[in-house]
Amino acid sequence: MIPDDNDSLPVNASNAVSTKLNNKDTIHKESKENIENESIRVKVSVLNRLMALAGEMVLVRNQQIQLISDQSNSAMRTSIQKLDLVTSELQNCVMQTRMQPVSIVFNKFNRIVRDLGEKLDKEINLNIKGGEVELDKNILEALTDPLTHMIRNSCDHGIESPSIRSQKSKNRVGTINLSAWHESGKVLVEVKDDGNGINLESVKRNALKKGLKTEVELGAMAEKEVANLILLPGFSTVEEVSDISGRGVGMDVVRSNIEKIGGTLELDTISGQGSSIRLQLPLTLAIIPCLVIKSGEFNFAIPQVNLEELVTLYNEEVREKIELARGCEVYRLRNQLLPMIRLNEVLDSPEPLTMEKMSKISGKYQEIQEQEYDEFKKMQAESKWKDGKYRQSLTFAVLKTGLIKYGLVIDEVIGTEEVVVKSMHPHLKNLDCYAGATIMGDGRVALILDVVGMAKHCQSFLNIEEEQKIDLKVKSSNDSTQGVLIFRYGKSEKFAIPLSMVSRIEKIDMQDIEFVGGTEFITIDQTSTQILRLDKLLNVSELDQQKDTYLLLPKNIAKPYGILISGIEDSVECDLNLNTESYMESGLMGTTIINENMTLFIDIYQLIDKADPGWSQHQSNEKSINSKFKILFAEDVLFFRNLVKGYLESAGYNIVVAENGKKALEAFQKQEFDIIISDIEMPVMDGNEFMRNVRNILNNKVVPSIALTALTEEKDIKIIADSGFNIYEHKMDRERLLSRVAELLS
Amino acid sequence: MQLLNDDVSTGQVNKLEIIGKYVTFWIEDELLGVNILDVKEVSPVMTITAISHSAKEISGYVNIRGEIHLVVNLRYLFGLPYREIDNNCRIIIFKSSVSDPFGILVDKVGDVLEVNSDLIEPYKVDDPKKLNTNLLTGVCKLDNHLLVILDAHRLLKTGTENTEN
Repeated sequence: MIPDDNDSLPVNASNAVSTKLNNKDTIHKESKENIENESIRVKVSVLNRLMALAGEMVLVRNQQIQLISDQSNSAMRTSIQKLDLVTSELQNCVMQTRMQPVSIVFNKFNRIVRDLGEKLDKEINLNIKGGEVELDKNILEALTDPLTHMIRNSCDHGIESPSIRSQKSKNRVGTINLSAWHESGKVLVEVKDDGNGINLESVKRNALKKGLKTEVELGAMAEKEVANLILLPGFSTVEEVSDISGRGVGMDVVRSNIEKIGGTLELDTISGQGSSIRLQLPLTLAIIPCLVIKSGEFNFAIPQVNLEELVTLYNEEVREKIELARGCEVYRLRNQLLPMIRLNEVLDSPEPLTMEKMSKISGKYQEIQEQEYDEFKKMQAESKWKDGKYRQSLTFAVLKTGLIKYGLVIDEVIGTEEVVVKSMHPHLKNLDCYAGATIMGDGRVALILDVVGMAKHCQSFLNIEEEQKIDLKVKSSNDSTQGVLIFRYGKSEKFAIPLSMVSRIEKIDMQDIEFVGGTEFITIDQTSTQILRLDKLLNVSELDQQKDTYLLLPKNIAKPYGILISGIEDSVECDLNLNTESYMESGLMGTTIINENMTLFIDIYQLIDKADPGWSQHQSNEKSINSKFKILFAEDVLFFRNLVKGYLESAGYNIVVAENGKKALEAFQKQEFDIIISDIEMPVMDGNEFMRNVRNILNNKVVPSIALTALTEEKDIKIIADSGFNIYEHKMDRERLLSRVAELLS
Repeated sequence: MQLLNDDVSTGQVNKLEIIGKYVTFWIEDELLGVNILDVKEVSPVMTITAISHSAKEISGYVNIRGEIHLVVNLRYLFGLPYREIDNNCRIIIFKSSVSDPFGILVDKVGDVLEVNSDLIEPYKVDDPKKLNTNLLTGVCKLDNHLLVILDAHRLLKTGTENTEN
């Protein structure tokens, strides 16, 4: 600063002394260049101290600004504005002292590449670009090893030997381009070679051999995805270990090192033409953008790298959208189940939160919510609060790190701020939940939350993580409860249908309905969909015309049908042990009490059969054939038992049902069956064990078998196949099940 | 300032005697002191950011001129019950040579006392329940009080042991 100021003086004065101007100017230039290139060594500790002081000055400035805001002394105001400017500039300048050009690291590679070239008998040229790009000292240090690994990889595996290169009519000399540049507030570093690229075939072979991926999965992968497999832990493509690269520490280490400093790695390869690896790095680690939030009376910062989005639920949504899965709160975010953690609770419990505690906590909140809702209902009923809405809100941040993704419920969002990260006191290093601390604008200390640490703190939550696909699974493993959709048709009755049988619900205009020979149709998605009116098929009240009308489109139906409904009431988790005694007619699966109301469960298939008898009649021939066959069906949940039994009986089969594998086995030993259909997850004896027993009894005789399951994971399917089932099918799909049964019997 | 040694008060320092200066403070009705050479400053209590999950005796973090300091509540270290922070409370900040930045929250600060090392007797455990004896290096009889001397270097270590237990 000071020499610069001195410099500017002669320039201003030069008008007066014009004769000497030229001379002076040249001297001046020289000295300026000197100053630009000159450097002195400064201890890092001094720099750190300087940075801390600059930060402190910013705080003092902030306080000053607050102090004068209610005074109108203009002279004071100007002086503080100046202080403001100078302080900002000072802080920037101090930050710059920590920055070093990447050439410090880049230039080392000239020698490495030259040495390697000689050793490997390859001619390699290293082009360096953008060496002047500056990075924080810490990042630069952390970058050295990964970059070295990447360069060595390029030399060893990438660039071919000169003879091969000339055969391929490439330049004998291989080129590695090492470049760095700024892009949208980040620094990009790229290592690009014009060698052979990554051998995708050998990557695939290796992935298969190591059991990382199956053949089917590999077949479905794009080239780029295959190439990215080398970033998986425990992957090394070289068959022979050389002393240059491939010592077992592969690209996965490179990637994790880059991710540790908040960067990302992207890999690209074109077979025969070379590969490139691109690193995206933050400018500095010392200052990171954070979301500042409030929980209880204190502020916390969440690194923005981990933040995906913020979601706020309002009013009724708070009650409805947060569901429970295995005792933990989850939110359905664009069809993905997002486990939820409440920050207050995490901070309240020094011991890791176990499953039990988590469910206690979620229970507590559910209760509070219900209480509040009841109170609101009461107020509304007493019309104290006539057009008052249920006012509530819940804010959570969707956080992601690696594979873990969850929602963190917070009290309040304060805003975003660039914070200076200070590490935790060594005395507190054992606390997982914090990544560090920082000083906020108001001079208070705020803790920086560690996204991974918090997830670890909620152990149960990690267990959920292992079963990423909790969606279907949770529901079916607690089998007897199912998500059901409650809807209305007429004024009096309430109907229900399992959510898993609903494809979607469409709002329709009654005027769009067309009549074809007494049957109603409506065009949805360019297909004529036949409309079913419940009052015509069941003994129930007429359609409530005053309200909007919707069409419920069921899943797994061969012909397009839609059920006319007047509105959706709710969707709840409910016990599906249906009552079939108190009220029953064909077209219903049974009744149950939901929210103290009797609710009729409709049976879509029976309704369709009723509405369109012609369709099922032409199957009556088959029916008589089918009646020769005897089916053993094992299923623990009454609901599914009746459902599937219904499908099969309507197709004319003789069917024997059993509640679990043991009962089924007993039945099997008593009589002969033509086909066995069994659920997998059952109490006492599960489907797999049952089938293994059956296979033992049968020895080599063949009785075809179908596993009915909601399990879709590969390992489950493998177990199912290993225990002796011929095929597996989804529970809800009637058409497919019937055609499979027919197939196996023929 | 109270001068305790006759030699000092008369200005004649006996070469064999070592005079130590101690920053004294009160916890409940106990007068305690730490070596002044370990102390960086005495600061008024500002907003302490609580750190959940940390040991009970850790009050939290404070910002003292741009540096984050850990605050240890001595009351808890001595097994005393919680007490509201009032105007008399102070934080005694230790030098970086003692440990990473930290300070202790005390009920009230006293004077800086000069004590002749001869007068300091080793601390005898007669009431182990009351005071955490690991920290104490000695006791010194004053006119109307007993001054208990703490070793600042051991403060955080004891804390760690407690956490681990």
